[in-house]
Amino acid sequence: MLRNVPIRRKVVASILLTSVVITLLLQGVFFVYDYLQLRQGTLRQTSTLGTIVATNATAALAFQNKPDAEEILGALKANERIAAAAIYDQQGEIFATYPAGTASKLVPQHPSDDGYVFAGSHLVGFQAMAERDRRLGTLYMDFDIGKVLRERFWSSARIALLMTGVALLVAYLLSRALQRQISRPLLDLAGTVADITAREDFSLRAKPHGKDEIGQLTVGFNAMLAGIEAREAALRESEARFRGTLDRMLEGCQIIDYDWRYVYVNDTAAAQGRKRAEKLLGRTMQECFPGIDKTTLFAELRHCMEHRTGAHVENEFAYGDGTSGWFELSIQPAVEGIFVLSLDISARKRIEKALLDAKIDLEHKVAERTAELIIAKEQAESSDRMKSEFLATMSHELRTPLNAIIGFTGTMLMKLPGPLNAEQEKQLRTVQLSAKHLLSLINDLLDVAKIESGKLELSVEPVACQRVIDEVLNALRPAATAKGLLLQADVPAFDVAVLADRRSLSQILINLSNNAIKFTEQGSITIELHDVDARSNMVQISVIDTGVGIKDEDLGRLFQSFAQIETGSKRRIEGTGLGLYLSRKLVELLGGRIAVHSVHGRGSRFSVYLPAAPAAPPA
Amino acid sequence: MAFLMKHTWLAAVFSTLLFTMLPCGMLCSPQARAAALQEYQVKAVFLFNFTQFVEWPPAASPNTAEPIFICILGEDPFGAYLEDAIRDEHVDNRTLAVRRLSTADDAQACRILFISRSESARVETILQHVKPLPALTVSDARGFGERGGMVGFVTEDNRVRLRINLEAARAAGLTISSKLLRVADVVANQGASR
Repeated sequence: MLRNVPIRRKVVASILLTSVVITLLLQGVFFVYDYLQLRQGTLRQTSTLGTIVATNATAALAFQNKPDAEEILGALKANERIAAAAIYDQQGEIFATYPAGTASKLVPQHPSDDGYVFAGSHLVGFQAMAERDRRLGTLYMDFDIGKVLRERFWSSARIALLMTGVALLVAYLLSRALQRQISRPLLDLAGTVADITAREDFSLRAKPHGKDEIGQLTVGFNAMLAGIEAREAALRESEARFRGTLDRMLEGCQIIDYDWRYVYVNDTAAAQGRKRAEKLLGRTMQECFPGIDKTTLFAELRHCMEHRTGAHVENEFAYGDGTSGWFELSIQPAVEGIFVLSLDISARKRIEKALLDAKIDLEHKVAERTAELIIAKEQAESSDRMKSEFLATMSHELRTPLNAIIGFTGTMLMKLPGPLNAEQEKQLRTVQLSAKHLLSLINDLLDVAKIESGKLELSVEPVACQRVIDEVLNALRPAATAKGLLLQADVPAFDVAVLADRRSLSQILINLSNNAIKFTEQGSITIELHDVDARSNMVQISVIDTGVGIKDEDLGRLFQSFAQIETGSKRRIEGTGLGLYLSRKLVELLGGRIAVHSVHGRGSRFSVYLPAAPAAPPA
Repeated sequence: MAFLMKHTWLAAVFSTLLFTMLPCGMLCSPQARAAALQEYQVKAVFLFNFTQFVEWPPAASPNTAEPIFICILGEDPFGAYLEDAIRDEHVDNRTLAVRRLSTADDAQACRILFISRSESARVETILQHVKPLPALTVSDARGFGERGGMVGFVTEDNRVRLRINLEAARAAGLTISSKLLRVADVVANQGASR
């Protein structure tokens, strides 16, 4: 209730209130004390008065002198507070009353127990009338203290009123003098605050008044002002720098308020709109660019403004004269409304357009070429297939007459038809050799053809490698021995089995070993068997020679069909050129791979990797 | 005062019951006899009451082992009233007793000597006889106080009133309480003292 009252009056009011309350409380305590005293005093007085009356009236009672008794009681008249009194005889009958003759109205018919009690504003009670300790009767007294109480109350109230008034006056005078101590510094502080608010001048300072709480408040307030001043300066500087930055930015900046008015537009933005900044500021977008409120850009801006969200859009802005420009816009909600950063991307858009056109053109060309290539590829594949089919048929047809040539040449060389001279024998051997070479060529061709036409049938099963290697060694030993080469195997003591087609494995190893023998003039050929590689679960079989080796540039073509490598000036190595190609195809069909390591002039190492058999192979 | 009022009607009922149960001799007798009886009943109580309001000299009935005697000289008008009045009463821790005398010579131990109306003619002689004794002389004989007696009973308007001859009491060494004097008429000697 005192919220808007000046502090000066609050201090005075609270002191006054306190004084009044304390004064009234004291008055109350005094009044209660006075009341209790009065009761006590009245009781004592009544009892004393009663004793005097009782003592004096004993003879009157004893000798039944009623007028005398009434006379004695009549003396009570001197005390106007006594409302009634009575004397009862030994039998409890009324003997005399005061006031005389008012017996039944004011006094009880018969006495009760001795003692006085307060009943309302009356003190009533009985006391014994005795002579020489002998009870002669009972005295009744009715003492009305109501009047006294009323008198006391009013006099107390008058005193209370007077004292309260005096207390109020003294408290008011004192508090008026004392409140200055509290209110002066506060008023000064409030005055400073009002000045600062009115002038918005934060360089003002409050005057300090000592070191109490208000003094501390003043110091704190001044410190806060200094802080505000410093911060404001920093803010102004920062804002100036920011505005300068915005003004000179290459990107267009504009701030639009909630009424679509331009609050801020930098030169770039104005230039982008083909207007002067002064013409835009303070006007609405709709005024400056009539019809803009129907564009999708405006809808986007409105969405950002209403939902306080940001957006990033590329927009083609149509000028009034029919031309247009492309802009990249970054829209952010701002305190005033929205903040729009715009970048002129018209040039970029033109380049992009050109690039796009070129790309489309290129894609068309690529598609044409691809179609051509697909046709060519299909043609090539079809001819390849025809070649394989042709080869398969022709090889078979070719082999049949050769068997006759080889057979009969053998027969003639065994001299079964008749004796041969040396020249005949020599020529026949040449025929036989050539025929055998032709046969092997045809066999290889047949195999290649079978593989390529997918007609080769494989029976994959666990195969014990040692046994196959032994067979290969036995088969090739004569050829190796003939060239003075050492043919050997390096195998582990335990069985190693692979999952393969036995005939194919044998053929691969023979092919590789044959090659090795062919390209080695001296030294050794070694077939090396390794244990199962735990990681890949493959078995490696290598054929190692000490021959001519292979040049690095030739390694790539090594496994291609009909590729025979130039080994030197003289081309005297026999071979179809299909051996390695066949071996590779077979290994791949068996789910393995083939690799070669070679150092030219020092030897080669061909390694075949095949899947290991899952369990021990049959013995 | 409400509680007192409540007690008042209770007390009224109680006293009514009490009176209906009193002995017949006190209430059922004819009016005249009742008045006479009542007169002596009052006088008997008064005789006892004198012991409360009169101071005797120490020489009076000094034998503390004996009761204090109230004596009746002449024809006894009290019947049993006097005995009723003193029954269970004590004065200075001594019991009381009634002694009926035929002659004044027997009045030596009496504190109170009631001279009956039957001795009215010989009052002066009797008083003369008991003068040295510290006894309170009481009588309802006509003009007893004026004739030198100490306390005279006078019946006026059916009320027993007292006439006290202070001079006679002082002469016998008795002190009469001022409270008793308040309720009595004080008289002086006539004739005899002149």
